[in-house]
Amino acid sequence: MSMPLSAELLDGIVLAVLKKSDAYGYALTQQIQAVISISPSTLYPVLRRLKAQGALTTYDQPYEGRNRRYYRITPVGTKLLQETETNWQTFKQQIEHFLPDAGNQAKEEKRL
Amino acid sequence: MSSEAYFQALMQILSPLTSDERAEAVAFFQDYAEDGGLTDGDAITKALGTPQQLGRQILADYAIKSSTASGSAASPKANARQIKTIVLAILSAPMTVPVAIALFVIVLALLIVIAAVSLAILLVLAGATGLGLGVGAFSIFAGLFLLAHPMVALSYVGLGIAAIGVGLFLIPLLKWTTQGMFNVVARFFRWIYRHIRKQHLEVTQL
Repeated sequence: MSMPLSAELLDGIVLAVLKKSDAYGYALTQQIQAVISISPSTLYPVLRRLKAQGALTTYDQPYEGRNRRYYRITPVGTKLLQETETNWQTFKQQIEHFLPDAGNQAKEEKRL
Repeated sequence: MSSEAYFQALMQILSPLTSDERAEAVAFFQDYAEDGGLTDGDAITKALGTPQQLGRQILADYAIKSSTASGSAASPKANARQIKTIVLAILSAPMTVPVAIALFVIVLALLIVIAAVSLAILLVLAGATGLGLGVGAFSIFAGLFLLAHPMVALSYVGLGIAAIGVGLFLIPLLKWTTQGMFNVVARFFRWIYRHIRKQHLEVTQL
């Protein structure tokens, strides 16, 4: 049972991965799927939207006789990522007030 | 099914998109299949879903967003797509074709009548304004040339001033009427659009 990801969080995750390094579609999907279950059919619209916003650009590199399309984060994307990180921290703290994370759980139980 | 068959099916389902959008989307997933070592349709289906499922997800993302809600002007392509969907919504509404055609013709006729009448009013008003100003100015001008016959000149100038006065009076009236008509037209179209969107939403929820 997984909780749904908001569009903003999805954008943030993609941008965060690209911030570490450029990636092509399959590699990007794999990196994300290693941690959280997501379908490439979900990721494609995200990439398209981010590109339309100017948060990332694409470039092609030849590979085994065809062109591989790489995605790269832009300064606009970096700024967007920072905003998302801030929003996430706020949101995370709000939720953890009600659903404390594992580290805080012992403390909470002692308090009660 | 082979990989080619899979992507051909996907192409078909993505036909509502422009050829650029379609090519980009299919290329993305073809590359994904290649890089992922998904060599036949079954493997691809396991990873991405059937061409129908995948295609529908892609189309859904391209679907009309509530651009009116955001208040920004929609791109011409989005507008064209909206118009297409709206027309489809009208045609697919639950009424028989003859009734729909009759209603459409009636509405069109009404619109034409309203447009004609408003245009006529506008033209008369504009004409009167222009005439007042123009004739008035000319009259004063003519009067100044007839200074030899002061009484005639005076009456010309007087009439001219009166005509200009009428024209000046009509200018704000003209402006107000024009703006009012544009406002009514815009509101009417917004009302129609909202009404159609409601119908469209009902249709798609079926």
